[in-house]
Parts: sequence; structure tokens; C-alpha cells
Amino acid sequence: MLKGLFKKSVQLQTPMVGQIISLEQVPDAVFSGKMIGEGFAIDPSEGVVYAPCEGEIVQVFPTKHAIGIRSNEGLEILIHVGIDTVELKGQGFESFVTPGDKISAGQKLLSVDLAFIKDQGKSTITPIVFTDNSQYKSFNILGDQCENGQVICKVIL
Amino acid sequence: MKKIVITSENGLHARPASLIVNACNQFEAEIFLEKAGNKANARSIMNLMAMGIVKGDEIIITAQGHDADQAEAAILTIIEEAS
Repeated sequence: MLKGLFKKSVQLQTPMVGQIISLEQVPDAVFSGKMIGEGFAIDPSEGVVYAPCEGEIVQVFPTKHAIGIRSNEGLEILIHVGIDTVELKGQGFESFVTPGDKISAGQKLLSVDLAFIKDQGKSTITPIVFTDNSQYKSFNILGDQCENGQVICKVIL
Repeated sequence: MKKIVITSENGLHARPASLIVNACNQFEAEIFLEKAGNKANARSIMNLMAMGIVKGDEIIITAQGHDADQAEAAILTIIEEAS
């Protein structure tokens, strides 16, 4: 492995179409307090979660509101759709993947009924968290709007 | 080793999992959670959530090291108090 010869990085594409916000703005101390890790969040306008990179599905939480991904480079990413959405017990969520599935960037992972989630009084703000901070050195957010297929984050490994 | 059956409605989701990970940082012991023969390192939020622990699951908490007993007790308390 020619580590150190050049900077290795992972480019992440839009996980959900919408507005990019910082983790500090997420209305839940678990995320705004970085208890699970660093990252960013999306205020989504479309109810679809797309794979941010090529990799593998580590897990889909039984209530389908949270999905764990490992990129080909080994970077662990948790996508947690909405806040306190575990309480919906799977209602409003549909998963198209199962643990062990190999995924390509932009692949549809989850379908989310944003209107239903809001009707239930829950925020649809979706944190995207790097759960192991020993895996990367830094990351940059490239803009404040997420369009489908757009590279929005670069993680330096 | 400590056993507990999950009674919280939402199981071991992000909030309690994050509390467990943070509690582990206070100890030097190796700490594991086990469900149905699958063992996960309690220091990894990804591994914890990947177990998909839900209400009704029986979990075994095991720790190895000089502060293993305190670690197991702390994790047990978090799970008991989780909502």
C-alpha cells in the first residue's frame, strides 16, 4: 500500500436533495453535540436517500430510519433520517437495500414520506455522520445546496 | 457478564447507543454487547446500531480488564434507563 504518497480522499455525493446545514444546527443534542461523530446534515426537499459513495450497506436499522454504510475506502457513514423517527416504527420508510449489499454512488437506498414524518410532529432534518473519527483527517463541505448526483463533501483520509 | 432484556419501545437506537459509546470512554476494559451469538464492540456506534437491537431482545454485556465490573454496571444502567 503506497500510503502517504498522495492524499487519499472520499468524495461524497448528495445523500438527499435539499439544503446542507451544520451538525450544530440539528435539533437534537446527540447530533448537535457530536456524540456520534462529526459530519453534516441535510434539510431535505425530496423523500429519497441516495448512496453518497460506492461501498457496502453495513446495516439498515429495523425501523428503516437509519442506514450504516462503509465506503470502498472503509469510511463508516451513518445516515439518520429525521429526528426521533425511530418512534415511527418503520411507518413512512421503505428500504431498497439489505446489509451486505454492494452499492454504487447515487443508488436509491431509502424512500421516505417527508410529509408523513412532519405530520407526526417530527423533524425531517437528516444528519450524515462519520462514526469513527480515527478513519479520516478532515472533511470539506462544498456548497449549501444538494442536487442529485452532485459531489457535496470531500473527506481526507 | 450481565444479561438484560430490552424493554424500551425503540430498542437500542441512536440515542442510547451514543450514550453507551460515550460511557465506554470512561473505562479501559474491552466491552462487548452480544445478541443471539453476535458480539459487537461497544465502543463502535456503527457496530452497536448494526446489531439492530429491538424491544424484547436479550443482550449480554461482557467486559475484560481491570475495570470490567464498573464498565458492565455502567452500560447496564444506560440500557435500563433508555427510552
